[in-house]
Amino acid sequence: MNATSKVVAKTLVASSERQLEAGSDWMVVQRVQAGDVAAFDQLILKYRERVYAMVYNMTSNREDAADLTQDSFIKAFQSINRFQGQSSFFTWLYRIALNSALTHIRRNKLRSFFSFDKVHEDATVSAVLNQLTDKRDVEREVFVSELQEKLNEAMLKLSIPHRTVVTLFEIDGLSHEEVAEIMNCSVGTVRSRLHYAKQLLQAELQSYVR
Amino acid sequence: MITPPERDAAGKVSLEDLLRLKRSERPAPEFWSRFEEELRVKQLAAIVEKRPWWVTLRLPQAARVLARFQLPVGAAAILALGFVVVREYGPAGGGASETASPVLVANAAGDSVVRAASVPKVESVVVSVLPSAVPVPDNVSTGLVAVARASDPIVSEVPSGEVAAPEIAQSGQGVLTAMIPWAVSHAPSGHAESARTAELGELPQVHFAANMNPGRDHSFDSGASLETVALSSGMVAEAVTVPVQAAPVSPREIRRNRILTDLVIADNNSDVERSRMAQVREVLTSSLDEDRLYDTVRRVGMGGDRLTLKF
Repeated sequence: MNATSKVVAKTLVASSERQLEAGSDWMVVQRVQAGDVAAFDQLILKYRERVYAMVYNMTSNREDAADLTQDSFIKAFQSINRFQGQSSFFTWLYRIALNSALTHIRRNKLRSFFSFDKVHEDATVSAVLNQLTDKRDVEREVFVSELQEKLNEAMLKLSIPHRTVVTLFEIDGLSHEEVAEIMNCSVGTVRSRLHYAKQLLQAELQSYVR
Repeated sequence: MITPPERDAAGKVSLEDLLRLKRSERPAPEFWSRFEEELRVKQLAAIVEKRPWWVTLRLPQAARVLARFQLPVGAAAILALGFVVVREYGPAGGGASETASPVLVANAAGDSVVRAASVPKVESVVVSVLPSAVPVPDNVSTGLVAVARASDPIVSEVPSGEVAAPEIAQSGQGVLTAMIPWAVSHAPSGHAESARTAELGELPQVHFAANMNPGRDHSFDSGASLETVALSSGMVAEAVTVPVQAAPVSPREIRRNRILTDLVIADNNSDVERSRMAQVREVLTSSLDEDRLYDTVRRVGMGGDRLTLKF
């Protein structure tokens, strides 16, 4: 069993897409460990948006999210030689970014500023918004901004573990197993936290949610 | 602005759909170019080794500034160093806590030896005459005894607290009177006399210096066979004064003893006595010159119309 298959086997993700992804990441990581520093740029380009999205949904501040994402990549680069392929690079990088975000949140518990990215309307989002309002143009933009603020406020009212579960599972689309691996807890805990977090969000957003 | 109660149930979505809106919050494409630049800068900053704090002190610049004031800074440093050296390694002043080293003292017969333990600095000494028949107990240790013989260059010292014993002080006065007849005239009466006795009991160490250095000019007359014994307050033995031979006869010796008496009395702590002591020293110095002058005069003889000069 070669190193790539070992990494794939240890990855808890069942999907074949993630297995292939983990295998290719491990090869790039090995190149970086061998001295090909430029190869790390591939990993940055591949994961920067996902890492940024996760951190942004945790902090609800795009400037903080940008800084924390950059710091996470630098930390990953500095400790890339310690990465032994025990998990997928994606999981490892996510854990670094999540820890950075949690540290930042704990340090700035009393200081929270909203700074939102713009909602890019695709077909799915447009359908949701059409269901919520029949307004057009300016009034629709105002409604979207208000909804965005309400959503982030509701997210920030959750505790950190519950917010993390919701962010990783519902927004970033990770599986229960991946969330459990990143959060270093059991899948049952993830499910339980997810259920409880949804109840809280439902109560907070009851005027929008049926 | 749309308030939530205005919307009916038909205008609601599921929570998952609502959270999908969060997924569509994405930064603009130009954001990533800026992100890339900042990341490069941070990567380079992380690679560059952090300067240690002592490098940031700018010591060369500080040294250059100090170089302008080289002379005063150097002088100040030398002064400070000198002050510290003098203070730390200079001679101890006062010597109040000084302790004397143990002294082995033997009496005239040499059959009885008393060891003086390490005692505090001796400020006073009682002088009395010890007949050779008076035994000195061997077990006298704490209240110690000092035995000295004028002919023997041995110094005995007694702790100052024990000198306050009146009989010892009186015996000291007696000895001093015997040694120096002028001391009687200096001694006041009544209460002042006892104080005087205490003073005399606190003979300075010049006596011991004289004993230690018998060859010095200001030593007492060695013709007087003098034995001194200082007895502790707890000691049973009685201080006995033995008549001493007659006082010095020659005027030169009389003068010298007078000066020395004044010197002894003046060796106290009061300022008056100190100034007096200085005067006495001056007199002593001048008297030495006078001695030389007298000697010179004796060499000159007048006989009729002749003048003789002895060499």
